Amino acid sequence: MRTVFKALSSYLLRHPAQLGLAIIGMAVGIAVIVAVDIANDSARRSFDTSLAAVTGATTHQIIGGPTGLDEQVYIDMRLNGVRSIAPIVEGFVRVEGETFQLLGIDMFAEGSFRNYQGGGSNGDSITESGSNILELITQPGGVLMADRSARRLKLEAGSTFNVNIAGGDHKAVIVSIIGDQESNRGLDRVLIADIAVAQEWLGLIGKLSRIDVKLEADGTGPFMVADIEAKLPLDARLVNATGRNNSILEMSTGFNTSLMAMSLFALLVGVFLIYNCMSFMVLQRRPIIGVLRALGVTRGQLISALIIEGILLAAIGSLLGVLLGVFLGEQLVGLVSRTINDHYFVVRATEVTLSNFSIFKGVAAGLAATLVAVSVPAIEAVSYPPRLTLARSVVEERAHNLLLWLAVTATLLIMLAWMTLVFSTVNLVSGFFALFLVIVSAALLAPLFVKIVIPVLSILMGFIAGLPGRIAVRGIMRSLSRTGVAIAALTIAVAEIVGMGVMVGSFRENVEDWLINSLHSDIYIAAPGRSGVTTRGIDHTLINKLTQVPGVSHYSASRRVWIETESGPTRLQAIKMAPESYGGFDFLDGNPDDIWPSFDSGEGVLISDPYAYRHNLNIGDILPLPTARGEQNFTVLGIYRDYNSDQGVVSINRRAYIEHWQDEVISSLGIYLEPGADDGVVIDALSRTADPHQALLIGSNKQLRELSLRVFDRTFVITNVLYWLAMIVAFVGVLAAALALSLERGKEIAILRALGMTRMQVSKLIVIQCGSMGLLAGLLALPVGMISGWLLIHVINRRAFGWQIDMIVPVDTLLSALAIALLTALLASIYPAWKATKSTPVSTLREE
Amino acid sequence: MRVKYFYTIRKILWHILWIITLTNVAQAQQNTGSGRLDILRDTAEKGFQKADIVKPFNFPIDHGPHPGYRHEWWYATGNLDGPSGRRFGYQLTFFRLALAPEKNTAENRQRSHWKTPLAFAAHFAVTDVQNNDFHFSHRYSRGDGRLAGAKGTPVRVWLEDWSFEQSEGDWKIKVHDGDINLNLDLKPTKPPIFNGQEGLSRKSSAPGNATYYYSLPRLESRGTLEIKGQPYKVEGLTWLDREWGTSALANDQQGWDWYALHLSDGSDLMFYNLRKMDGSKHEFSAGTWVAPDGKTTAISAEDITIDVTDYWQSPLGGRYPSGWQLSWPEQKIELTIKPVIDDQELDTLPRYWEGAVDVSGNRSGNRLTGRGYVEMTGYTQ
Repeated sequence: MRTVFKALSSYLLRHPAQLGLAIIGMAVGIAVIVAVDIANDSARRSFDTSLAAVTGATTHQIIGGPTGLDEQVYIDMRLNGVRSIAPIVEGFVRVEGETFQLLGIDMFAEGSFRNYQGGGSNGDSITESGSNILELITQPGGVLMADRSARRLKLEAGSTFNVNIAGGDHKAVIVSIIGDQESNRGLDRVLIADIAVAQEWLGLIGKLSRIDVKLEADGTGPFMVADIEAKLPLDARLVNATGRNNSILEMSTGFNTSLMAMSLFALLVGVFLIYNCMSFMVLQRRPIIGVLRALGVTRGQLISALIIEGILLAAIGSLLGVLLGVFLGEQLVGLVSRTINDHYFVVRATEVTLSNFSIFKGVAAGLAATLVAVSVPAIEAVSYPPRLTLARSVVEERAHNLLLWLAVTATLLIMLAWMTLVFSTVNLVSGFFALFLVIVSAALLAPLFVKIVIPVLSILMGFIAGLPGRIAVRGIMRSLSRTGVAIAALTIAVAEIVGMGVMVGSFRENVEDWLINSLHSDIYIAAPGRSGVTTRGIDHTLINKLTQVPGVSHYSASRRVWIETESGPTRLQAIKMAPESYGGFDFLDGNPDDIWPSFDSGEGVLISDPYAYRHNLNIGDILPLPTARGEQNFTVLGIYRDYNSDQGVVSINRRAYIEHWQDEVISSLGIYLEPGADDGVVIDALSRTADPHQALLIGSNKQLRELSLRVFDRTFVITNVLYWLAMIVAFVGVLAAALALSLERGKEIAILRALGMTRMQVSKLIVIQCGSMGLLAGLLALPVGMISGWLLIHVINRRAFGWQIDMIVPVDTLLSALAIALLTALLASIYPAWKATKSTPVSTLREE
Repeated sequence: MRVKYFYTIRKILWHILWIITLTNVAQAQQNTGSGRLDILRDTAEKGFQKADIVKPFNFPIDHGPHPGYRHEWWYATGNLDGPSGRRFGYQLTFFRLALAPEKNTAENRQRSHWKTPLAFAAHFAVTDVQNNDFHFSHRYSRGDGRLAGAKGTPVRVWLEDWSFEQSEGDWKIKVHDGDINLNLDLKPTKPPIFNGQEGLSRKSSAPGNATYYYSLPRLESRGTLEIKGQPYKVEGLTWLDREWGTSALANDQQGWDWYALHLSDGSDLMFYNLRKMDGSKHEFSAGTWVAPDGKTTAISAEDITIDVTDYWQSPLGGRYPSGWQLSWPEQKIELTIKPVIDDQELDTLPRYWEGAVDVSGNRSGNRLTGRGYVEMTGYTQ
């Protein structure tokens, strides 16, 4: 066996570039999987741990309407003997550019709810120094901060700092640092303050964000769900804390799944690369294998030797891949967190958590791909009698025979994809499965496509580059077993670019159109707050002053709130319409002439398309919503296009909103100008009016549109990163194939040189060959990319986010994809071309 | 003059300990001597009024809270008889503690109602003799005037649904604690007694290191005690202590045994046995004798001897005395004191024993019986 290994490995050692490329390709493929896993996992886990730390032993929560819960509800419950409840006032604040969660607690009620200390159940003091937690009550602006946060911000116990809330600054002082025990991990970027401080800072005097409740799971405690529910006012509800946390976490599932799926495509490209490299290395050693077989080495011995070798390589590749993946993951965490922050919930920590499972997934994928890549050619190589094994032509002959079977398989896969979509109409994973099948079948069809297109291409190339051109192109055909795989890998990568490009391009164009259609006001004024949700809103007296500013004609007003429904938080938008506002709704269903009179009279609600999709609602359906007077039923009047939130939005007439929710707050204004008024001048005047009273965000229509698109683009940064990573893998694949070809063609090239071809002509031949491969991959990638773009838009996006997007074919995306394919291939040809010119025909031929 | 000196210390120590409870410090007992006591040391006294001069008491106003002072309590213990020989004991205590001086701020729309430096704690215990059952619980709250607080005219002290109320000379107790409810009307049968120097109880020679301190020694108590849905009509006698001040403390004693006894001849006896670190009686141990007509006589350390006749081993650790022989030769009083049940230990922080006792004995050869309450601290490790 040792002799076998020695014989096999001597080849590898003589061709380190081949070996290196195989390992690099494997490593990058695995790295992408590991990285995306780490990024997804870290973002969600950090949210999870902070949620757990903040939720503590809470089993249920009492939540109120959009403006919070009247604190009297809590007082009354306590005075009526309800125990195991704790009031919470919370909000998001900025500290030195970082977002912190401000958690206002009543330490007297905290008891067993949250555990701010380390150690066992008895615990140590809240802090290592044991300093005085009572100062939370006595010290104005006193807060507790986790050690981790304090170190990052270079603060210590006793330090004072500014807390920025909705544009206003408040002075805080750290009365104590929370120790850095494991149980406190989730408290990074949490400020704990006395409930009074939190109320005053957040402008929530008299209000609670929620009441935490601890009930015995088995119902043995002094209070039960029913007891508590009986004591609640109409606008308050008791919800299960775990369920509520899960539904928050659930919001980003579509996004996380999509990322994971995209990382799988990178791995798919990687698998082709691994297959290409590994099978090439087996093919290259057919002569040695033939000799070894002739010398009496058994098939089993050879196969196991090749597989062991493959596993060794895979191990090295996996190790590198995991290391690279961790590094990449650290870079991606920020991007993933930012997107989740922009669209779903606040992820505070960006700490990278590396789970063994992430590593396992990456390594398992790498090993599996390697095993397949090695065993197929290995079994094939040893399956011939020793003499035949030596002949290269046998392989190609077989490869050509295989074309038909590949095409049949591809057709079957496409049918399977189609069936998947027909039979599973909402599941996101099955959507990705279908997309995956389409891509794989495209890869399987690549060799057939090459066979069909080559004759045309060879005539074309002959025209352009003469004999070397024709030889080059025909060469692709003759080494189809190798070039086919390289072209398939490149096709997948480029198709992904095309598909994503079509999807993102269409999406962006749709959003842009929608922004133009729906943003009618000339100037927008908003009270600062996350996602436009603010507790305080714009002061009513200030609204009067603002609307009196010269140049202002009239205005629309809206209030955005979150309300808690059975199925999780729902975004509700109350609008006071201006005459122009009506045109801003693009109804996907329903007749505007019927909808508007009902909406204006407060008879029902409008829902955005994603909301309708997620909750399976149609026009005329009843949507129950919790109001200040208990749960009320609302009729769905219309479904409109909206790209604000993939969770969807419910819109209601402002008068009806006030009536049902008793909340008169206005969080944003849309100002319409007098004809001829200059928006810059009016914005200045508005700012001057607002500044002495309240910090407000004031911007023009154009600014808001640009801001919206910026957030949109930011969302797809990570997508871009991912498909460029796939591209890198594809590049390595083409490079490896080009290198392999030139190596294999060493003799052929030597003969050509001996026959009188110049070095330049030989290089040209190699460059043309690679370029043609790129062109072929690019051409095939266009239709495949369009199909996957269609799937991404109508299946994936719809299922993951509920978006309805009109597909637009961006010609520039298609052209640039073609160019990328070509350039990648040409770039990959440089090294082999340069290498070919170095060899001398005599020495190469003498090797025979 | 020094009569209630250590009594005061006892109460203050409790304050510290329940403050530490709030911070979840389990090792409170070991740490009482550490820097955590700083809460009640000099700097924390700034901005508070001090009990430094003898002042006339003014009732019913002085039954209510004294906001300028840092701490204050209402402390009731009593023995109750139910129907068909049922026998109960109860304890209800409210502590008011200002963590910082209360500022007189005008009502402000921007001011949170939760903002207050006041904290309240309350302990409640019921002894059910027939069932050999002892129930206790404790609560804490901020004294925001809604969840907990203390008000004068009419006097009302409460923590959630536990309260003391006083009007027209009578007191009311209302406690709802899970499946135990206590509703009592208390009628004083003796005027308040003023401890120390006319109610100014000094802690040391330093001026202001003192508290204002009075007691209502004997209140006739009537009402209902409901245990697990079963109401009992009850009546008996209650002892009520009131004290407020700002003073600091020293802590050089191991613990104390406190006795408050209502005797069958209409007199009341209260005595502290303060234990030095070696367990011996501290020379500041003292007490008060209240005659049936309300006249008081001070008892000094050397006047009384108390011998322990029995012990009870706490399942939670520590051994408490559980039977005493008290003799006061000067008054020819000999009393045997026995707990009505052994386990009347409150597993709070700190752990302590406070429970109903039976008294039997004689005075000048005449049979004397009675009931009372005993409190013991410093027996746990």
